[in-house]
Amino acid sequence: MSAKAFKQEMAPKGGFGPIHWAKRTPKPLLSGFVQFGLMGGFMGFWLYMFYKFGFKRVIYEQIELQDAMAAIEPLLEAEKHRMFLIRMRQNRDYENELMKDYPGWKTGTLFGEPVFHNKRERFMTPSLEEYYAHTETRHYNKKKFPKIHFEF
Amino acid sequence: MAFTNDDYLPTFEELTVPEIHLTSSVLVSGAHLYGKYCDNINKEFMLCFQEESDPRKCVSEGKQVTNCAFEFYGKVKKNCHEEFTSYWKCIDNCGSSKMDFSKCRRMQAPFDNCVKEKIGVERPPLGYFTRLREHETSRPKPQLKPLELPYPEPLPTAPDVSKIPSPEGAKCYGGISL
Repeated sequence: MSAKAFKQEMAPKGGFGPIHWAKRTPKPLLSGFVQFGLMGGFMGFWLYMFYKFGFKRVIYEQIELQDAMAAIEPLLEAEKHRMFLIRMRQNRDYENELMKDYPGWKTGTLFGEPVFHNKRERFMTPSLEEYYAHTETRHYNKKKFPKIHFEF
Repeated sequence: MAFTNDDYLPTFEELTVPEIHLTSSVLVSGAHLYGKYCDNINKEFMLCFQEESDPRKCVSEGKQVTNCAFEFYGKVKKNCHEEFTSYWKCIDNCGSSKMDFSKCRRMQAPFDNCVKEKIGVERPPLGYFTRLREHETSRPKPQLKPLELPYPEPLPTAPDVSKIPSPEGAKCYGGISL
């Protein structure tokens, strides 16, 4: 009785199905070529629209701004030159006053040896350290390490 | 210090002139007409600095530039004060950080008309200041000082070697011609 009720579990008829060992990826809606073509189509369409309606206007506005900046440049430049020359003259006077008791000192030189080898008498732009020599360090630092504003 | 007491520097009296105190939006909004009004003076100054590359030699031209700017903005203030004020305030408020002109065309038209009638300056065409322009000047072209270096005296010429009799031991094979 018990022998009849015993049933050995076996594999189903025809064997087990195949094992899914490969990675299962969902099938894409559109193939790669179709996606690429759609992208090209959109980009071409918007580039055409930009060229047709927006391109020239943007360029014209930029040129107008450049015009304005170029027109006022001489005014700002002239003022800047005058400020520079005033500062240079002040620096020379300060140095004359500061080193008057030092024997053998000549202003603008190192004991008679000139700063530049300048035989043809070109104008030599002095360095930033010389320009800010008789000021406080914070003025020099402000010029040397300027804060960068990204918004303009 | 790069300047000795012998070097030329202009005095304080030459350099102190009344500077123009205007904000950036005022300067930029009147820039095209100002540039057209003071065209020759500005070109003269920029050419001077381009050629000389020396700010000491272009002080008088720079003074003329500032003087001309005073003249133009003074005329604008005298004749077209209301139109100009509305225009530069519009650029200050609506023109973003770059001070765009495109949002203030309605204020620009009456200002242009006023300046054209009262001062006689017309707005130049687009790209007038950015393209290359020619300028005629009477100022001579600057020349650098000629180079005078202390060249050394030339060496005496070497003696003629072929005429010197060579010593006995220096001849190959004892002087026998082969």
